[in-house]
Amino acid sequence: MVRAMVRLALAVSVAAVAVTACTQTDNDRPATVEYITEAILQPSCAQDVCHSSYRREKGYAFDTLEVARPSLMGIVNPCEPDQSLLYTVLTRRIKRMPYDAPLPQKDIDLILLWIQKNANEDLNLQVQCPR
Amino acid sequence: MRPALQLGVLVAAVVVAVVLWPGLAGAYPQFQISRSQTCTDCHLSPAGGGPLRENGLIVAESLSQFGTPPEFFYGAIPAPSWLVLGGELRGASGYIQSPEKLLASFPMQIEATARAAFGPGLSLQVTAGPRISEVGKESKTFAWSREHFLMWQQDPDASTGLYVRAGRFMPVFGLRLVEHPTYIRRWGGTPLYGETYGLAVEYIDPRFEGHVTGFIKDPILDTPDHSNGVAGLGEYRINEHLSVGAEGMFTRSTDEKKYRVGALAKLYLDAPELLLSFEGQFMNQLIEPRGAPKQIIAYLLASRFVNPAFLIDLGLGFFDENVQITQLHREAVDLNVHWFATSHVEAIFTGRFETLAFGAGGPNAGYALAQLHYRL
Repeated sequence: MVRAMVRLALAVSVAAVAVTACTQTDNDRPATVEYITEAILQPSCAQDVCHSSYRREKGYAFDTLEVARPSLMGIVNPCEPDQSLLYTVLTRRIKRMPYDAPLPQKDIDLILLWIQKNANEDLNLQVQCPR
Repeated sequence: MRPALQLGVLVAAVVVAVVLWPGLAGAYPQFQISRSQTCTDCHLSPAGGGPLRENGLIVAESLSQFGTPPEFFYGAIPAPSWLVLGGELRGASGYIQSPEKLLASFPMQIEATARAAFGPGLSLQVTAGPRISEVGKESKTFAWSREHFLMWQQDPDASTGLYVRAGRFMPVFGLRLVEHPTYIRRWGGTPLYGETYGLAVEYIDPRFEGHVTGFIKDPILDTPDHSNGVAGLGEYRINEHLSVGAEGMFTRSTDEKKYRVGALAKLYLDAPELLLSFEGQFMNQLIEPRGAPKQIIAYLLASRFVNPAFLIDLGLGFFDENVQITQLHREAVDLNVHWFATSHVEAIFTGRFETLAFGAGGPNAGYALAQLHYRL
């Protein structure tokens, strides 16, 4: 009985992973402040002793949308997205964030896309970029 | 390489490495699953951790290399029978690569615990100590009580039966590992300092246990999770070598909802004297106005005593932050070597090698830390 249960669990696990692997897409996630905050910044950057509302390391907090919006306003530059502090701290070699483990490249790409396309509107920055 | 194949290769590597690990015949006999033990056989709290029962003190002494008196301050400070005192000190020092290479030393835990029993089955447990303070409220938040709860126990003289807890504590969920960087804690619903206010109803039996906790966003402190929710875990010990369990958690904040379901298993293998522990979670996160990443969080841990005072853990973590998108998974191999030097002193080597999108050329990270743990 035990062996049968273990086999069943293994079969279900392998099937689940296989189905997942076969239905994956490239990177069609929403480039919105809500998604960036809740799916990427909150779990990766807002640990209690880092960029949480409690600690606000360097003045930034990303654990809720309410605190993430004002924090992001100062570190995104829709006119020069790849010069935004939010982007450079995730990609530089020295003092790279998150300090304990880097973000996947696809998360960084999504953040850059959001700065390029939607940050101005999402954060109500009202920045006019020179053409 | 596809995630299924990557996961399979890594699981096989961990199992092979641990089974081949050199070991002595005299493995520690009181391995939890091989003796149908529960957390409450050694600890006063139904969640495990914290103050020890008499049996826990005996285990601490018999397990250690130089078995010193296991009582609070070696028994030099006698306490009345209704009062249990304790505490934990932890610090670590070592090398971190993220991928920048750093040498770091840091305190981890400085806490004292008191547990007072009063009335028919009632007790109050408080754990307090200094912590990193809240910005702007430094004078009020340099110290705190991470846990404080009132507990009713059906049979205060036994380690089984019904328990009800109300107060601030971590909901019982998952394998309940001490190591908070493990994926099943960091992303699995029980992060560092994830304690909050709640009400738990728990039943412990040698064959099975169940825990249900309703909890709310901490109304006093800004904690990493701003959710209200409910968590449940049930574990059934099929025989003295195998237990299986199921878990679920629902949390809701102003910005999102999270649904978690998971499975647990512990298997003790006689011949290699190896305990395999597994937890796998599936999480569906609903973000307003759109976005619903589905995540997989899994951990396989192989534990073996190679001498009564040395415990080796080899763990494999897998986290996919969105299973619908390629190359968002990460993997970690953790190695912990515990040396129980005395009844109170534990020296730990803890190391991790982590890859992002293993097989797809993602960056690596890791650490190698020496940790010292002193139990008061």
